[in-house]
Amino acid sequence: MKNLQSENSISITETSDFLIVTLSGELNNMDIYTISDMIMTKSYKKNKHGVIFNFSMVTVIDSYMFNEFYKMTLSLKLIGTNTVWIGLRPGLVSALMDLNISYDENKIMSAISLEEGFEILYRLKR
Amino acid sequence: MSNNDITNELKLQILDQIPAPVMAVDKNMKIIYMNHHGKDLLKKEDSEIFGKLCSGVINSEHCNSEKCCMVNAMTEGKPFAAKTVISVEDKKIPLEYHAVPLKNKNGEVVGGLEFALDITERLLYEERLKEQSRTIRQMSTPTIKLWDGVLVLPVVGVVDSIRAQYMMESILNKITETYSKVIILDIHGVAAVDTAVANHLIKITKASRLMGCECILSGISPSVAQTIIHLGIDMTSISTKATLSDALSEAFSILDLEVREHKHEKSAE
Repeated sequence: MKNLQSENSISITETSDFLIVTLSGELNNMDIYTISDMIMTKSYKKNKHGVIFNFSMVTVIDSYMFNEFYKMTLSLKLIGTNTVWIGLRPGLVSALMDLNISYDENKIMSAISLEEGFEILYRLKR
Repeated sequence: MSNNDITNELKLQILDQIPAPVMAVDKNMKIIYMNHHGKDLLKKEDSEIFGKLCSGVINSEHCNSEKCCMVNAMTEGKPFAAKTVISVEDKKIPLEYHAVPLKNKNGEVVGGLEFALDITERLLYEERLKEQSRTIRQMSTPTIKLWDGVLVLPVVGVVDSIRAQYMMESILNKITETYSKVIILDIHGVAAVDTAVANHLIKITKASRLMGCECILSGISPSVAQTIIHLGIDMTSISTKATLSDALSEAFSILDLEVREHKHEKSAE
């Protein structure tokens, strides 16, 4: 596995069907490619049905980073994996709204809690 | 001659009787006149005032700066007004002062005339007004928990960008607090919906959806619906309902809840 610029920036937990990716507060632009690669290959090789991005530790996000996660979500969808975003903080969301980013609302699924996220993924799996 | 004297004397007395400080300076900013109220306000004797530089006597925040209205009035030849703070014996007094150029018979500027108003009371009043509007703003965004997982935000009055921002904050925080799945924005009390208001509402919807909470817009009257269409605003991304009860039943279906009438069956004897 490739080295990350900043350590402890993500943790990937596997369940039988899903991957839970917990992101930490300090992600830099170089990490994002590594993370993207890691998640894509893992989900492809181990045949996971869904990925959960946990943003609850993330305090700052810029439009670039948002776009990268958005693209990751779209590419995961292409290999048949659903992605759910959970735990976006209120401050983060209103900051994103101020940035006036454009994205297709129907392509991002989000949930308030991990439990909620699992429920969505189970529903889609059926 | 004596008649003339009396009028001159009276003229000076008139200015002395005004309950506002009045002051005149010559071109070198040396004080040539100050009325009684001005002296009272500054708590200074005649000898400390006349012929002295006005900046040394008044000690205002504008003294010796570009903001000084007196200098501006004299150089530009027209009236100026501003707010400032003067310090008298360690006490700060907020003043609003007006300065006009003092001209001789030929219309040449020979000095400046200035009068001021004590605005301590007004500032207090303005402060209280600000406090009140803050209270009203807080009261105007009540996010209510209507059901387990359902929030309602009744919007009443005018939605401007500051209020929209406040609404968004309130909603997002409440969503994280209560782990709600549906939020109903009831805009029944909003008199007019224009492009700006619609954009704010769309933003709020987008934001709450990113948090994993579905947003339903309710209370759209026929006239509001027509306005939205006339303005060409695309609201198709938001689910909209006419009444709050419609929105609530939509919320129930999102939550997989069912409301049923309970039938009391009479047991046959």
